[in-house]
Amino acid sequence: MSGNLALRTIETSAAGYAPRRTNTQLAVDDLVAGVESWWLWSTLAWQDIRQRYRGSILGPFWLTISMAIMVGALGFLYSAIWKIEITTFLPYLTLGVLFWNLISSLINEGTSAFIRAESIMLQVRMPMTVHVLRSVVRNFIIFLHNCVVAAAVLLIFAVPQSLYSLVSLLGLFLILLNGIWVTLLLGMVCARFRDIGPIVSSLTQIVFFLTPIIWMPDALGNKFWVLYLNPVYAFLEIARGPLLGHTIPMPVWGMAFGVTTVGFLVTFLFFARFRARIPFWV
Amino acid sequence: MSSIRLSNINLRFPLYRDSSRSLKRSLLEAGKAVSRSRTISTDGGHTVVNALNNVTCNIEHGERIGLIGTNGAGKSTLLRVLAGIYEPTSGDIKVEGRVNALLNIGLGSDPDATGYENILLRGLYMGLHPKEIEKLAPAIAEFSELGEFLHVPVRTYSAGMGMRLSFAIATATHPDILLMDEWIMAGDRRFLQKARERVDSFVSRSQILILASHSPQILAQWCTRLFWMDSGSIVMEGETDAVLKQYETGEPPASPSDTQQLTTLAS
Repeated sequence: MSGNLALRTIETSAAGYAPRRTNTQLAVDDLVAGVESWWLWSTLAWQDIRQRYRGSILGPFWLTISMAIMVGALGFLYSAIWKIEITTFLPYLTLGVLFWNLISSLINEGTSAFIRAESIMLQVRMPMTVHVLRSVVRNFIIFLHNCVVAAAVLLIFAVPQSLYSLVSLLGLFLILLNGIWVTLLLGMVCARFRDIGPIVSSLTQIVFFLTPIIWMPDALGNKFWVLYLNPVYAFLEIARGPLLGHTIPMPVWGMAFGVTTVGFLVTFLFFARFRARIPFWV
Repeated sequence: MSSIRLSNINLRFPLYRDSSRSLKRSLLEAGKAVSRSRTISTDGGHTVVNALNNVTCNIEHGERIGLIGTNGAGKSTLLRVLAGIYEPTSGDIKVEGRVNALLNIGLGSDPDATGYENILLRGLYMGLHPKEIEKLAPAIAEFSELGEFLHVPVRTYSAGMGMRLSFAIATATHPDILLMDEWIMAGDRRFLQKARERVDSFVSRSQILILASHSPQILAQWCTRLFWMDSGSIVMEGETDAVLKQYETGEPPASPSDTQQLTTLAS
């Protein structure tokens, strides 16, 4: 009989339930709660970095050293191949590699953002956005390590800077902002389809060669327009150009803001639709 | 005052990747006593697990609830729904109070981080600010009795040590509702006794304990009311002794809720 009584209680209190929130509202809730718990994702990101320092004094500086070696070797070789002064080419290459490393690690670690978080996700309720921001912040911290190389090169070659150089910070901000939707989208897709992660990393390698990093856009001559098919170029140029005294052309700005807007819209639709499925995918 | 209200909770999820392995695993989890067709079905090529079927229950403050059933009966899934990890496919859920869940012995711990670092990490996961965790850390360290081991990576811990740390963290944060899965068994007898005392004081402050286990002994000791789960449904609920007695027979009583659930599935 007690069972029947319990049932009646639920029926009478059924009106007391808050109306079920829609998927869109829940997705917004997740994003807001995720961003608000900044101390959570920033601490988790730092914990990841400390993990890399553990058992190794240099930690992520290994990546910085390998970047310095790569830039040094490629700089001498390619300035000879392209017949460009090393004083022009090496700063260009260094900044290109610096921002490219950030972009490519955002993409590649984005693919595993949710898969890596499996053990947390299945134990504790936490906004999905936290896992995304953790990945973005971790890559930003590693980027800061690599900045040492770029700063050294800019100083050694005495690349002139002006107030316009600060536009580069906007470029960096745009890269990180886009890192959020890229991580969220790839994190979901790659949790659901496990073979997409490796495909993404091969594609990223191809994009490295298609993007003007080890070559200069001028080399394209009248085929310059092909760069406007490559969204990575826009972000890279806004971050790199100002530090080299290049003015950013309007189409590049348009492309960067367009990609940011469309990226967030598409990702949000996916997120609203599939957010609740993520724990079953990981 | 903490309370839990569940009304007609259903949870269905598709199994996607590596379907043969997942299917095999889920069949194993479903257990031999389970009629498989009720738990697993196929829908448009996907294998769908009906993890919870029309689960309805009311839990009031101060209750110690046990979930009993075979592996794969839906105990852990129900705990995850209560913890807000899985969102039900349909049904209404209302949980009042702050929930801490001890679902897995690892509790998302970082195996390479030390015990102290894991106190910080897990405190963060539970929504605490680093400052609050700092204040709680000495009490957690003391209750866990891990001493110097807290400076060592948790990957070196035994199951019992991991459990002690997890339990100490989860209960030190004064949750209103504590969810625990059956690995609580990993502790030694003395620590289990200590853990029970802490849970007793916790429940006497009008908080709720929900413990999933397939061990009648543990449930008889810890719980006042039991839900017997089978194939994702509550097939019987009542006083611990009554449910355990029936559970020993292996046959759930034919109840109105059971038949109702069968007709819902058939429709």
